[in-house]
Amino acid sequence: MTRFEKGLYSIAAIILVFLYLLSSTNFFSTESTPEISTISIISKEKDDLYRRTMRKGMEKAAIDAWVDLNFITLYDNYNLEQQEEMIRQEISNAVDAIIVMPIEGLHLEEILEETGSTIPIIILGESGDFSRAASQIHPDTSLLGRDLATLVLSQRFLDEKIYLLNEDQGEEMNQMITIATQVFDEQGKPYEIFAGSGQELGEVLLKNTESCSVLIFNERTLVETAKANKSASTVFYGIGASSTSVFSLEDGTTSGIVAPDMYMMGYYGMEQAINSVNRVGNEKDILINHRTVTQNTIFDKENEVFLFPLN
Amino acid sequence: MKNQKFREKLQTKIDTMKIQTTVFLSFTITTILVVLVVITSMYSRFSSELTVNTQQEKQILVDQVKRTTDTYLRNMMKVGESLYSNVIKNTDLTNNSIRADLQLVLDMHKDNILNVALFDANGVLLEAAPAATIKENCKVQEQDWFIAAQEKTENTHFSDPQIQNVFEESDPQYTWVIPMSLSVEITRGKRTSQGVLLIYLRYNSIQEIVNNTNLGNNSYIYIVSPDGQLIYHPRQYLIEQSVEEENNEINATYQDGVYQETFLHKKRTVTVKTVSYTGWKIIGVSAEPTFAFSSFQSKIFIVFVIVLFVFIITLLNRVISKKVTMPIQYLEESVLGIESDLDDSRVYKGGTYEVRRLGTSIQGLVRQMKSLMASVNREHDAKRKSELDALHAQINPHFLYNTLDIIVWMIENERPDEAVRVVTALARFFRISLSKGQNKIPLIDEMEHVNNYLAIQTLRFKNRFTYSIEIGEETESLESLKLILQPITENAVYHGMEFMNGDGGILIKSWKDADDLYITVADNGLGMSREQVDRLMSKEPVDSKTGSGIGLWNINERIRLTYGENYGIKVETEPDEGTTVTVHLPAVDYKQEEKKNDTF
Repeated sequence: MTRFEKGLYSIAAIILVFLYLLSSTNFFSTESTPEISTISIISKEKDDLYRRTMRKGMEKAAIDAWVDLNFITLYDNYNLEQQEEMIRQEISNAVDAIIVMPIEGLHLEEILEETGSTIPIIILGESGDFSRAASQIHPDTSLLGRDLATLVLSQRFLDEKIYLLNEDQGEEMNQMITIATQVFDEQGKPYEIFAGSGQELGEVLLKNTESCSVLIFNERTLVETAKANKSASTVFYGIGASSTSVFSLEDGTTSGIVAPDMYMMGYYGMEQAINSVNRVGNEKDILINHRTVTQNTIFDKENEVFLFPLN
Repeated sequence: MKNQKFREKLQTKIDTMKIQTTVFLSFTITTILVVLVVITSMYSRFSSELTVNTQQEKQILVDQVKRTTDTYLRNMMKVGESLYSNVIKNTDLTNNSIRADLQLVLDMHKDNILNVALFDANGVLLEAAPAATIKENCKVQEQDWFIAAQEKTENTHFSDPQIQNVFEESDPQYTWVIPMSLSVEITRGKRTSQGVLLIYLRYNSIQEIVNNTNLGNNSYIYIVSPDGQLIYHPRQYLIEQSVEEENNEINATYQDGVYQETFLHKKRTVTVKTVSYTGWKIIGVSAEPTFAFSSFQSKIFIVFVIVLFVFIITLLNRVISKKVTMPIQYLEESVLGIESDLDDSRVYKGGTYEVRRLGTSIQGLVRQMKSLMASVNREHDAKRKSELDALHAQINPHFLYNTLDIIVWMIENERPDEAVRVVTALARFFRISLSKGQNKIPLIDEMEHVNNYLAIQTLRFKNRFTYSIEIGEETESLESLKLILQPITENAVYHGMEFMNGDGGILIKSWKDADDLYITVADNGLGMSREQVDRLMSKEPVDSKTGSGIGLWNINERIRLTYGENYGIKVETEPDEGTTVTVHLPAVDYKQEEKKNDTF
């Protein structure tokens, strides 16, 4: 055997030993088991009453992934400080990704800027320009506003007054109101934008003796205000997709809703969060569908499966 | 251009490849190929068997789901039927309530049943458990379960899953249910009428039956109604919102069995089982199984096994090829040694039988070659020496000086005719000596050469002897070696005639006997002693003081080298009586032989 051959066989023997140690022992490395990632979902409300369907979608997306879901609700609805505290806490906990439904988009950007966090952030329900978000999933607010206005026009008399409640809850709401008013303007429909809370609007409605329609763009406010001010002369329309909203619609408290596809919002949100964790790559902006539902169409087959997802 | 150069280099490498390398590469490549073929075929066989087994296991699981669903539905039907036959049928609803019985059934099956209710033919609620009222907007008579029960009174009906939207709930849950309805006979006093018994089965029960069965990775079970509507699918919402797709409408048309289909460009196996009573189809979907090593260590282990295999194979082949080819290599080295030095004739004779035989043969060949070369060398040496001797004889200064002296004496004594004769003889003597450098000449020329020589010598020796040449008629055209007779004659002149006083005689005679030619040179001189003959026949050069110095051994050797061991010269001598030298040659026609040589 030549020296070259001897050298070659020696190298092969060393490689063999190395491969054996690598494949059959823990000498060099231990077989990595899939790590469980923690993904925190920070709501903007104190309960999941209006987000159950979205949660179902999230759980479906996470079913085959090694993910520990951490649903966080606030102590009070729409409490900006609390949400900030929760976000900071999750950042300091170094979770793998955060899905957040921001109360105020700009404020979220500031927090992220300040903390310098590199944790992937997935924004749900907001279409603003979030430079630090890995992905944004939201309904087309223009279409939501347009469809809601069209629904009102299709059901109400032309001269009937319309109130549009503006709770100053961010750009999304403003955009929907703007689009709805454009539709009313086109049809010559009288309307009034009421800036204030649902409660304040209720006080105005109490004094109102004429029949009117009220458009509310926040689901919780819609249900609560409609319930508190149920009368024969006032009809309520708004944005909503939860079983509470459906029940309000069914018992006539509200007359029509435009329901965003909350299941898919949750599903896509979780899918993008998992993609971020796995460094697969994200879709920056995802639009979800919505459906217009009235009392008579709740139990239509298509609406039934849309509003009450089976699994 | 580069390609061409590379090919040439490769070809050169292949051409100069050692036998050991060739054997090693052939063994290794063949072994690896064979093992690959075996592994591939075994993998193919085992994987197909595994696929079949896996599919069978999945079929069994799908069948289990079907049986469980069947059992569940049968139990629910029994509940409905026993409720009807034991309670409703036997109760006059005018004065009696069956609510407690309905509640009892509900309590017993609360995991599977959400509501139990009895309606009259107009859709009016008669009894319900739990106690409930009909929703304000609900039109019972328009419900599909009610219509189905009214239309086919003899059957129990299962409708498609739907949200419970008949009974009021204080806290609306919007629960998914599967309505089971059957037509019943209601007794009110003496009157009987048709009614409908509704049992809302919890959808979750069906969901759990399927969820409790795990078909494995990339496999799932779904349930479809006979018209292709999804009853249950693990990703039902995504399908209904067109985010994902399912082949439910086609699968619903399949009979019970196993089908291979391609859906969304992916091959999959579909197992279909039909549930009794409902016609629902339990569909088991499993992706084409792929056998891959998922973990990093498993992949590395495969690499390790392959490298180990190649390592062992190459090592073994190295040893085997060396064992097989080393004797050939040793043999080659022996031959190379012989090539450089023929005297180093030790040939390797080890290894296998064939190699040993080859070694022995080569050894024999070398021996023969050496013998042949020795013969050639000897012949060459003899020829060279003979030619040198002949040349020496031709220019023997003594002979030439004496001859020229005779010529001068003849001219001075005004004997020009004799001088001319001597000069002519001398000239012819030299012409034949040259003979265009040929080794063989006709016997007649050889005889003439001797004649010229003797003609000069008789004059030199002042007629102390006479000579006679007798050429046999048949021998003139026969072949003779050049210059073999002149040295013999020279010996006869110098050793036999020197002391003769006019009565000396030399007789040269040739004749043919069968295939042999004989030439004798006989003298009647003093004869020779045994020692003188031996000296003449020995290898040692003879004293050239008076003669040409060409030994008889040399002539004898030339004849034997040219014609073989059977030919040569023989010396017969008797002191005071003379000497006879006989030359024995084969009788070969000179012209025919020359023609033959020209042809070759």
